[in-house]
Amino acid sequence: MVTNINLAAPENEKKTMLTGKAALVLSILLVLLTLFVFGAVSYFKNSYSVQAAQAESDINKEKAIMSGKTYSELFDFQERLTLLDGVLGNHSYWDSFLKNFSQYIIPDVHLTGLTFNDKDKTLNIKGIASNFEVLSREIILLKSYPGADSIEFKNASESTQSGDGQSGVSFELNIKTNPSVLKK
Amino acid sequence: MINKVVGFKVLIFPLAAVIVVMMSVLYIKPAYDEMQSLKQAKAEKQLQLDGLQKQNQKLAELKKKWDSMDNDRSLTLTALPAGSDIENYISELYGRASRSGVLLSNITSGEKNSATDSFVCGSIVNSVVSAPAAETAAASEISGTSKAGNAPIAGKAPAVAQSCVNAISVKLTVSGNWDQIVNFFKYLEDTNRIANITSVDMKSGQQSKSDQQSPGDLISVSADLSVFYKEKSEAGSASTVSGLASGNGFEESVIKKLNEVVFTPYVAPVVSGSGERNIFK
Repeated sequence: MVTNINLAAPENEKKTMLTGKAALVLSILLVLLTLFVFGAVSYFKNSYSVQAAQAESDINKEKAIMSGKTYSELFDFQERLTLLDGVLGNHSYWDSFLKNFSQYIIPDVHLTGLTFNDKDKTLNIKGIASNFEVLSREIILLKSYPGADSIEFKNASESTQSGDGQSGVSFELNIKTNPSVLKK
Repeated sequence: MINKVVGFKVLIFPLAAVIVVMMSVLYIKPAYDEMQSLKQAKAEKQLQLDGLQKQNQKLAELKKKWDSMDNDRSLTLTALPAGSDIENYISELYGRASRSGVLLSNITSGEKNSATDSFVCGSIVNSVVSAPAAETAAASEISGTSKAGNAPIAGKAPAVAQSCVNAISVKLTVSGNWDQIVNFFKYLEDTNRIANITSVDMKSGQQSKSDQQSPGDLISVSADLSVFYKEKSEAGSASTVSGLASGNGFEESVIKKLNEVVFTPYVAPVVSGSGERNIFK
């Protein structure tokens, strides 16, 4: 069987645009271009890597300055202020409280004891009123005391002579105070 | 021969193309991806660096300001000293008791075992909340990453987890008349070193037969005070560092408040008929 290939035919000449040399040169150029792209990418990769490492090193330096001894006194001062804010928030003003509270004790009543604990914010008062009517007036007056959330009557008993040599009605009250009671 | 030439000519370019594609897939693409991620990382680090440089600049400005705040520094350090230094406080207390005229009959001091205030070291609140979310968030802000957590700021000086004050309990018993007691309370409030009264027990004194005073003239007071100190910290807590570095400045409202407490002019108690009187008499 004979195959007849007419290489010199005009339609075949048009089809073979790429000659052997051209294909070789083009292929080499393509490969070189690829190598160049790879080289460029590698170059930039290394460059960014170095720059990132440099930035990391600079960050560590800045952080070392920030947390080092340079500003430690500054931070310590600020922490003291922050903590003092909390401490001063709980600061109590007992002279103001006593002066204010005394306005809610009527003249016919005098106290024999006053106890306050910051934990439960309860004011326990013991005293002597001249009679039950005075005591009831006292309780009504204490209800209007702005520092009192609630008043709990504990006990009252008439005594001819109490421990301090006075007669009247001995009583004990618990006053649940609000947090502002010891503030200015 | 013709077949060979045609074969080579036909294959050389596809072969080159295949090589190029393979190089692209195996080498160029991963290198490109890596380059992109490094570029992004570099940009992020640069951003972080710029932020830190700005923060350090602000801290440097703040340091200059702090250097000129001699009085405020002294006031703060006296109000909340670095050591327990309880002897000096008791000495101040004696001075104030004698100035107010009360008789200081008993005074004891010791470390406070339990406290409920969140700012006091070892308090119940502190032990429950060991690592507040704010601290973690602040640490993240400084390090510039979201995964910073409790990591040290610089790798050298670790950030203090949370600052707190140490409390010393001082129990005292004084006795005196109404004015003296009110005076003494006033003096207790404005001591240079801040102390908080945690409990008070007041009793009217017993009348002695030989005493000319009526019952209620002599009042006995037992008070429990919390006196505070804070050890000097070598590194700021994350929230403090981020707060100052972000340009918030010092909490000058606290200095103002402190000045008000320590230097408030004294107003003598008024014993008037309107009821502002000795309630024990």
